[in-house]
Amino acid sequence: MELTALFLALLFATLRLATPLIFAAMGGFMSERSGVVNVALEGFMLSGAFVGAVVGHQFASAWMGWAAALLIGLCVGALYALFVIELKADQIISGMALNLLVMGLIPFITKILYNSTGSTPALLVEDRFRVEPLVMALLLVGVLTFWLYKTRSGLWLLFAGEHPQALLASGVSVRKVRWAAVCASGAFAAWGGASLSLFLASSYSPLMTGGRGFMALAALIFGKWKPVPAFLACLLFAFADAMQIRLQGVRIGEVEIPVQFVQILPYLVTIIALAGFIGKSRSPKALGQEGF
Amino acid sequence: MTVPAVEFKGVSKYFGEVRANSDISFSVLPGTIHAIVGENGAGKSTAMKILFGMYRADSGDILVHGKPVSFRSPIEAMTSRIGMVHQHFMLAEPFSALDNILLQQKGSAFSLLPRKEQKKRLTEIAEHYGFVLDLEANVEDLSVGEQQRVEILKILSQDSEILILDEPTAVLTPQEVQDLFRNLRHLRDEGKTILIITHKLKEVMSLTDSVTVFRAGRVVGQKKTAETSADDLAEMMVGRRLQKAQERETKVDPNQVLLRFDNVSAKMGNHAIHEIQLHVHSKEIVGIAGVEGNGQDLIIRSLLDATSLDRNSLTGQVSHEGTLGAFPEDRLRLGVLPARPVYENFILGQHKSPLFSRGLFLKGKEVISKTQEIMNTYDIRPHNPLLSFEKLSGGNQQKLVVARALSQKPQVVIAAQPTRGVDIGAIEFIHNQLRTARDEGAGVLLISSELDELMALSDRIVVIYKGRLVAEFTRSQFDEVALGKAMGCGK
Amino acid sequence: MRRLLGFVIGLVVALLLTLFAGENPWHIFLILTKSAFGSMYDLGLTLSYTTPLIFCGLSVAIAFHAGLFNIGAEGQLTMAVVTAAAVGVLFPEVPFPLAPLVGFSAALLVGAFWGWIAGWLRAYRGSHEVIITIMLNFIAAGLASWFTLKVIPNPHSQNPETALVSANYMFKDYDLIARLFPDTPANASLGFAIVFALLMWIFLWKTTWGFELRAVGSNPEAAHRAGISEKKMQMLAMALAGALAGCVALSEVLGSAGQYRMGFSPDYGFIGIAVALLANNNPLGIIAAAFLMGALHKGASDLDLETSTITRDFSRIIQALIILGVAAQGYWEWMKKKKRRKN
Repeated sequence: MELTALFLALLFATLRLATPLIFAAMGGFMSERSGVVNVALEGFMLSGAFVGAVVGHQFASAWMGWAAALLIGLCVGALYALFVIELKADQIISGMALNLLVMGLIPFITKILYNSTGSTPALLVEDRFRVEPLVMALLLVGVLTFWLYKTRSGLWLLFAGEHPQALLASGVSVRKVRWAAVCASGAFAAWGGASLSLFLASSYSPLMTGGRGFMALAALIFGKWKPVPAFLACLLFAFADAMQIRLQGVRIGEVEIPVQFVQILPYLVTIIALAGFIGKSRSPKALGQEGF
Repeated sequence: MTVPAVEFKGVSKYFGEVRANSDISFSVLPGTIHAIVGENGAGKSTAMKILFGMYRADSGDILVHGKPVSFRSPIEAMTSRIGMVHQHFMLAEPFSALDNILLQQKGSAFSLLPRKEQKKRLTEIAEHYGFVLDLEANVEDLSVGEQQRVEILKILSQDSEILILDEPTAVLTPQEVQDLFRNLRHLRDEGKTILIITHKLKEVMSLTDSVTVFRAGRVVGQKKTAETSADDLAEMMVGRRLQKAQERETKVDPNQVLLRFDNVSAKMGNHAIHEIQLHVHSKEIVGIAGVEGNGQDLIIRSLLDATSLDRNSLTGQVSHEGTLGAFPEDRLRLGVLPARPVYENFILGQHKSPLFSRGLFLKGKEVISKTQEIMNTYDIRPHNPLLSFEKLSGGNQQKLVVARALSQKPQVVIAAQPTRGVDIGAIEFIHNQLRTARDEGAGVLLISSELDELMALSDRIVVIYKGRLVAEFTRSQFDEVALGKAMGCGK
Repeated sequence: MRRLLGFVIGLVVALLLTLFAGENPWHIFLILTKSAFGSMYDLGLTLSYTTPLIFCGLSVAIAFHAGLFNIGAEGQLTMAVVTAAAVGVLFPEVPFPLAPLVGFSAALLVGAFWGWIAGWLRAYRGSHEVIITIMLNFIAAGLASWFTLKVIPNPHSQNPETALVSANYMFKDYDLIARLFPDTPANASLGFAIVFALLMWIFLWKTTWGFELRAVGSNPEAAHRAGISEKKMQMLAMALAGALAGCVALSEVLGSAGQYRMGFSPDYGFIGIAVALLANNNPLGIIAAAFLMGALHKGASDLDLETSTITRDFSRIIQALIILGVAAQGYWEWMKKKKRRKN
């Protein structure tokens, strides 16, 4: 009996913790499948988490925060697209710079808004999301899978990342497809961030993403750049995270496991996943190719 | 008098100072197969790319079915029912043939892909023209010939009337070439007009109705195929009689084996070689003939780069005497550091030789001066060792790669596709270098897909087919037909 | 030149942002320069930021020359700094000339190991070094925090920091630079940093190993065909990158603080990316670029005091915008294209 309860609790915790990862991984999916490397997911998530929390608090409505996260995600995505698609900046360098920029801008803004050093005021518990983001994350995976394999623009996305010359030859602008994909990437990842600040917690706290943007990217690679396998990889990483929370303060005999050891568990699992079982994961052929 | 399907009138095209096409004029009648022939760099691809809207002409007119056109993009050309099959296929490997064709079709972004209907329609078209093709298969699982059929079907599905094919037989086996020609004739009989860019004269003679010859950016002749001969065309193309293979003055030294493959088998992914038995002697050039992808690269790898083969798959004995000099089949990918200066490219691979380094340190001055010396003797222009490699022309690039491999007088030379993408002057130069190396005692293994080159240089030619050596010809037995047959069907 | 212009554009955009906070950008710029160079004390602090930034810039650059992106300098330096502190605390008996040497060597080794992990995973498992090094940064932070709080905490302080290393490990008495800038953490390791930059330049352009490392970065397949082991070079590059980042132990533990303090690094590892980028990965250029970024960082750290609305986090914004400004080299082509479209 107790075991079942424990199992269910762990399962639900895993799903909850997976929500931000799933959104971010689907964001990464959009961008990388279109041929644009995206290490800026972390920054996208942070901006979504922050703006979601600010607007959500302002209107005392998680949904308003959610909508605001969508907007800011599109904007940050567009900024990234501007640099990597139009200005042809190195994708990894500008991705990292964007992360840094968001990390710097958030305390800059909180200082102006709340005279604080980076946190936002908390949402009332009854205003925050219960399960909505989780449901949406699951829906997103399904919708994306269907869209990718069944619709014309899904095919465009696949070709933009695999053989952009062929897409160009058929009269579709690779640039436009990539713009759209990177903006969507920003929006999804920002929702991932917002589900941290409006669903898992009720406010923004500094650097609350804790590397989840990169884990999502790892999940995407681990999932061979396909939505459903990437989703499963997110569950794996989220499970490690859930275990981490559960294991804090657990004792083996007399010795308490240091909390720091437990906390690095998700990061370790990510490394092991990338290093160990990846097999032959083939990236989209034109990933990182510029000049269209 | 019939209106030509395509007519060029005084078309010129410049790339900066370079005149790629000057005053090109010729016409193609509807319902015919027309060959555009010429050496590499003669301007034939440029002309076709202008027709297909990839470039714009600087002057002159192009008429399609009597109406002047000026396409700003291939899309516009396609709406005027002109299609082109590029030398490098525009196909994405992990996706199905059907999806690759569907990509071409217009439709709103969020509409569902009409896979079922289109599969039916495309199958009908394919059957109508006698194509055999599995539309559901992923492109990476199709043979090169089948991939080409996907490209052609792509064009046909848009009701194109004029088809341009750029070097369509370069990568095909003789059998696949026959299939392609049958398909093309069928298309012609259905009224399509076909332009094919090629430099293989035998194919021109056997397939086409008429031919235009390009040389150095100009049209030097237009003939009905029936009224000309391969020799005539060759003379027009080159502008002088082709040299016969040079008679050699030195003799193969049969007692001194420099390179041995004894019963060698190996595997890499889907490719494999089986029981390769081959010895190369001093003062001998042994050619390996074969359509690309039949295991040539595995033979090279078994010698130069055994670790890249599948683990434990290499059996038998590979050995060589003395030093080894090699130039790879794909120089930009495998041979050089394109963005780095010439001198760094020159020492790459021999940077640890005492000529260029002392202990851990490079001899900076010697590196530069030796590179300068080589650039002067091999006339690699411009004679500047500090220039970045990618700034050199294709011929000069390859000369450097050859110079690097031969400068240390290796006993064994591995020459893979030594003249690919290289102008005529450089070809002669490289061939003479190989002959010199041979005369000085080296054993040379020559891997080439150009039969002419193999027959001009080799003392012996072995034919590789599906990973096996299936035939061997000595110099007196060289015969294009027999060689071609062995390359294509293993016997 | 374009890089410098990119730098200026980034800085100007960052300063313009202060308008939103109701500040005068010119005023902010003056604060930045004054607090970076205003006095010997300020200059000393600037130089104390410059030193680790040189190390981290070199770290990023050497990986880059091998075609790898080292985002893990932060983790590598953390591991190295903790190691140096640990050695100094746990083996207090080692006599002076030997002690700093031992501490430094241990730090180098651990830093190199931490970098090598990513190199090995890349070479033999094909794992992307960017994600791996980021994960290793988090793990390093976790391990460092455990070691600091649980194993060798400072018994005399509530701050999250290790105990002080034995005095034998410090080279303060012989430190001319430290004497020049009293009361600042500036120390002789600046000299070491400059020497290391020179050594790296010699290594990259004058040795066969350096040549091989750059060949792998330029075209791994061709390098492989030329008999160069790209696996070996990738591991070497990442190990050297780790060791260079680990040199921060020299300036932080052995040269000034004598302990590891959690949060001592304002993300030197990340600023190192900006430094390397600004210098186009040239080791000698990195010295200048590190000084520039060090000055900006020092300048920004006084914004807390000098203004009411802008915090030291502003330096991150400046860094990010400078990186973007420098990275967006396609800007010029883009402008030309726009012009052409208009015409």
